[in-house]
Amino acid sequence: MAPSSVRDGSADKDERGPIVTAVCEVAKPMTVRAAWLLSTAVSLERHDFEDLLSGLWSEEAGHAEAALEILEWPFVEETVDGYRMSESSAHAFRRNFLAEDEFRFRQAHQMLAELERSRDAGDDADRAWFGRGRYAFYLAGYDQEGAAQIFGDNFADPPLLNPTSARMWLSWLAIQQSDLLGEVPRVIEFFHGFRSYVKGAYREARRSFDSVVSAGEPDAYHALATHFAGLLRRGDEPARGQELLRGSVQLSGELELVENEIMARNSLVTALISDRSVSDLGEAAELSRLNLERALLTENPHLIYWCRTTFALGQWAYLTDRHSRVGDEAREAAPELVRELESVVTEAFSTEVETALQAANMGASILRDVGSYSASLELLDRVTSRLPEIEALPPQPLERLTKTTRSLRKHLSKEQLALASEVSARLQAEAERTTSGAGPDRR
Amino acid sequence: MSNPDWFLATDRQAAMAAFEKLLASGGCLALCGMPDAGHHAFVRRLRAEVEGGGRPAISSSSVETSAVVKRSLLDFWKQASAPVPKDVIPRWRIPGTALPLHEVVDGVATALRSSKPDAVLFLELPDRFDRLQKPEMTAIVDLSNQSGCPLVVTSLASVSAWSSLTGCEAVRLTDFTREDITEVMLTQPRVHGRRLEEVTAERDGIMNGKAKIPPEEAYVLLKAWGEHGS
Repeated sequence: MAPSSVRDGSADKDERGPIVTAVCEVAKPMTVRAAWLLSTAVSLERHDFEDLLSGLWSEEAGHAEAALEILEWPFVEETVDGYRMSESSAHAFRRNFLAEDEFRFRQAHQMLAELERSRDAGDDADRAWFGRGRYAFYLAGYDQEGAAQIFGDNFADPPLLNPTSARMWLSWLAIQQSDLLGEVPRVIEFFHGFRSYVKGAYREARRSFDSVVSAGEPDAYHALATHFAGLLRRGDEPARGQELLRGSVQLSGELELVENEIMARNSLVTALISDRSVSDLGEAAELSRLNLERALLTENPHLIYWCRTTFALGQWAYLTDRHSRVGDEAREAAPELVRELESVVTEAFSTEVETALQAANMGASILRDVGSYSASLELLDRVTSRLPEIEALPPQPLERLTKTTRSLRKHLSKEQLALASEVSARLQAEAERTTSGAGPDRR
Repeated sequence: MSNPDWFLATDRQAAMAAFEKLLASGGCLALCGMPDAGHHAFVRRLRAEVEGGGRPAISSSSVETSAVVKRSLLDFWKQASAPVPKDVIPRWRIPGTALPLHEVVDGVATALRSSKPDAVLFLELPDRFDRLQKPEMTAIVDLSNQSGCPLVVTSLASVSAWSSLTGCEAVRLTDFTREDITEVMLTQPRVHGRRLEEVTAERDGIMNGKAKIPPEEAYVLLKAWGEHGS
């Protein structure tokens, strides 16, 4: 449902905003209706636009002319996917549509949802995922709970390729329906939290996720938000962070959110390792083993690579008490762990570069810990010489590799030092090449 | 016949000067602004300039998935490629999103050089969902360099983000002032013979007491003002 000021149909000039008011003053009624319809769509092909317009106002005439006229207004964009209205204008027209003709507002969303459902994604899982996102966007117009459910489920199960970017797109869609999904406020709060998290605005992200968690609804949003809220407490409230991560693992298991269950457990492993107050890392080692078993059942290469890496991390942290002592048991385990990590590097390099670089760093660290300094440097050399092949590199693994390279220096010969400097220079160059500098414009 | 898009001619001196320079010497021009900066409307004006000068304009933007840059560049590729006659088997495979970005850039640049070397490219809001990664920004600039075609990209990012890239100039699409609005109103026949006070009063109605107005709002209100009097 909409806010009451919009719902009661009393939208006056001020409530409509200057853009809607201006169009309403000069355009024919059917042209305003065309604007209403276009404001509710992610994008619309011209023929669908006309068909839907005549379907919604079948008793009236002038649909084709109105569809043409509205395209002349400067808020209409032409995209590869069809026509759409710019976000700021669409928001105002959507509110006006709902205020003036709630019945057709909902009908328009139903028709658009049907149109979306009729589009055949074939066997393309990614296409189907984006289709479900658009379907949820339209569903928000007449079934907010249903839309919230699909948005949440889709978020929990993103495409394998560029999941973060896909989730940012989904968040963008959900946030555009803030007015409608306002009845399920946790949903909007969650998506705001995610966008803040990706942009590195961690304080805002934490506030949003905490707000979702505090509602206490045991659903996908809660499972996902507890994971993020736990991750964001690693620095200042580690015990509370671990508690949240355990909650996320448990709820995700109950809800069969397999990916989040595994990712949250993964986060718990790394949280336990980084929390110096945790003296026995047996639990971290055991959780990393369990997680690898679970990941292997999913056949999701992204999760499997990730869990193979964390498994090695968990075992090594346990065996060496966080790299502080290398006993016989650790020395015995090292070759197998390094082999495993090297194979992750080879298999994942072109598709899962972040995981591949984490694995390379872990492998180089193990080799350094057991005193195989030149083998460690060779691994770093091999991996960094391939970095220019990769379009987008995440900054954190580059920083870790730089740190590991630096930690080797005191153990290296003069010749090896030259190679280490070369490795460091490559890492520096790659960090500069890929650092994202696209901050938002400000008024 | 009067220009139906007259309201888009609201003062954009800096952006227009940068665009003229782009047309003359090539490269990449980023037009940066807030979501209501009227990016698309301004591109419409620039496209009209290009097409009026007899050059092809190729635009692309995408909203249906998150792979915006690659998808838009693939769309450039499609638009730049000459249609294959029905009785000829295409020699190359259909490019898709699985291709690495640099190969897409190479492919589009090659297609443009061979079939539309004088085209001007418009890539609209590739960062509307999420900020661009630096390699994506670099790929956009590379496309203008490799193809030799001037490229205009509209963006929500800051001017500094784009102008830090070699070969890219960036201009901010700022809000319009009262003077900007008055100037474009005075170009319209409906104000001829009327007193300046009357025009100013109508201008103040458009500005609604504000010193500046977001471009998209200005374009819409000016268009409505023009139609009101026609």
